Amino acid sequence: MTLVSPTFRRSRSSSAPIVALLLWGLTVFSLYPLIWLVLNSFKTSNEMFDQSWTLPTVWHFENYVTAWNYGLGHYVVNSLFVTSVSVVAIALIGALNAFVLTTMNFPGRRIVYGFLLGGMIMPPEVCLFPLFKILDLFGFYDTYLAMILPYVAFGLPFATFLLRAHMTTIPRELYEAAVVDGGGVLRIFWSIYLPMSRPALAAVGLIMMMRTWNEFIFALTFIESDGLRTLTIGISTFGDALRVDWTVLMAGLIISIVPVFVTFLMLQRQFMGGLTQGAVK
Amino acid sequence: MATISIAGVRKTYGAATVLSGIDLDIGDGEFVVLVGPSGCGKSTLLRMIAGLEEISDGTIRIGERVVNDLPSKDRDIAMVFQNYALYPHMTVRDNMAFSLKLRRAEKSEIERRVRDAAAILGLTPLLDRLPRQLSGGQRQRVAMGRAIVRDPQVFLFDEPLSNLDAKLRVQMRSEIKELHQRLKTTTIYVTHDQIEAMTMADRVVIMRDGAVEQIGRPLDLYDHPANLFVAGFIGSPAMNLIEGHVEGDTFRDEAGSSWPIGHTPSEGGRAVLGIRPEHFRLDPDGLPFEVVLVEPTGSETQVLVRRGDQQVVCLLRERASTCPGDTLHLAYRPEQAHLFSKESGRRI
Ligand SMILES: Nc1ncnc2c1ncn2[C@@H]1O[C@H](COP(=O)(O)OP(=O)(O)OP(=O)(O)O)[C@@H](O)[C@H]1O
Ligand SMILES: [Mg+2]
Repeated sequence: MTLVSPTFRRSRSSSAPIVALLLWGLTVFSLYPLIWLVLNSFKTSNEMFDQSWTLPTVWHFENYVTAWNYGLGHYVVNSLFVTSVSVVAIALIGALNAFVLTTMNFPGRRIVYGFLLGGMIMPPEVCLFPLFKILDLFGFYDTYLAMILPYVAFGLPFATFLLRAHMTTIPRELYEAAVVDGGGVLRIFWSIYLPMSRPALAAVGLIMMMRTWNEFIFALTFIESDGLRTLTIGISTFGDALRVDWTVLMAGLIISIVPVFVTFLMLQRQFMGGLTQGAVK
Repeated sequence: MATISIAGVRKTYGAATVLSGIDLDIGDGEFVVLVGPSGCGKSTLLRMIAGLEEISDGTIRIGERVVNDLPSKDRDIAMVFQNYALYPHMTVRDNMAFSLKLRRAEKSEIERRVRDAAAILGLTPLLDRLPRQLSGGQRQRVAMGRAIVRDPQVFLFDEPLSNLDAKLRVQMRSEIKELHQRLKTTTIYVTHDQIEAMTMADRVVIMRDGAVEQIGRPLDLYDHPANLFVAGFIGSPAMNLIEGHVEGDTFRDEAGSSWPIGHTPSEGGRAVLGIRPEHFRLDPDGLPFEVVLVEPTGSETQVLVRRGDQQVVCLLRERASTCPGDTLHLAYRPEQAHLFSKESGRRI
């Protein structure tokens, strides 16, 4: 079209290949270790050391079975349990916090919110010893709750922050329309604010899932029994036991990434919506 | 259906008084329009009736019940908001059914009522769409559908048409009016558009600065404005207001020209004469005016004329072929002239 000025078109087309090249470089840079890991998880240890960049001559799927049977299975189950309970609790309680902070006017509201935000800059390591004392006092030490409770507590500030930012964009009239329609506070939360916050909830869910799934220090400090351990701890002890069998360890690592990876793929469209929404309107 | 009675209602935010003592009685099935300039407290009053705003003082009754402390959901009212406030994640059907579900109505009952309301408003083919897939006018209809499914005692509208373009506004105006004639539900309708007020209302309440200026049927307000504010507010183009003083049965403007008023008012002294533009007519025996500006609209001609220093707008039905500088002879019936006290603004 003649409407587009020639200079504009030229500048676009001349910079596009450079940008594409940079992006491709970045892609290779971040995928390279992952591909290496996947390839070698199907080899024997000897083959890995001899030819670490070829396709496996024989695909040793049994590496995965071995890894699973080494006890990885119940670590995965533990991690799935602890992560899903924590994430659901964080999302739900965070959404309730955000709902109250956006729709209700009570004295000290800003202080409560400021207090919550303060929690975001609190490093977990600092709390390790006091938390240990508290958990021990209530008899939660070495139970699932010893992980779930701190995870929820440390996840809530960010979840509340993100969800509140989202909920302030919901017009006040929707709340009032629901009041006139006869909705009580909880009903309005459940039927209007929660479903309308889906993108932000997806973002919170995903971020919290990755954080909880990969958490190490609390899981290491507050859990003693092997039967309660999560994947991060499991893999690290697994590594000690399998010092020589590298490719089985790699199969184990792949297994430990899969749940986060799958969740990300499922939620990514909502997630992107959650982080950029409100930017264009 | 119900009567509404508002007595001595006040609203204050801290030190600021937003409504200073409103008294208003609305009959069963009446269509009352609250109109006034921006910020005069129309929405505040409506929201107090809806139960969305605390009542600082006074009482509001719906039917026989005092509703001051009754939560919104127990007042049996439905409200249509300016931006429609449709639930964006629900289909048209669910939007309309929401309030019925909250009231735990039977499933078949909900379905029947939604179907009926959709049929009345022409929404049947749109029931499964989301609000964002609708045009402005359709959204407006869904907002009304949401109000009528419940068959409430009172409808409250807060500037429901101000987001629509001019043509659609006229169409929806008559649709709302028709709907009211069909359902006969007591209705309070807020607008700042005096044409909407005049065309739709059984009675108009004109408000300014948190107080009621005048209540009356549209034509009564037009024929007998109680004060200068109402005189200037109702009618388009606005009434000509000429300052001067009364001498017996004539009115003399600042420049000393005299204007017939037909009677001797009870109060003399400084006054304001009001003449509606449409009440001027061409008359060879009329007062001489100099033409300043001519604006034909097709059906009528709006002419700005001058008598001495006093400019006056008049609206002529005839196609007056005049140009600026010409002299026009215009007359009005003295009984159609309005006189107001300069001091109090009240009609004399
Ligand atoms: N929460 C509040 N705190 C203090 N003042 C308020 C509050 N809400 C409204 N007001 C004031 O009350 C007055 C009336 O507001 P209201 O919304 O009722 O006006 P309105 O007549 O509906 O105007 P519009 O035609 O612009 O909608 C305004 O002057 C407004 O500034
Ligand atoms: Mg308003």
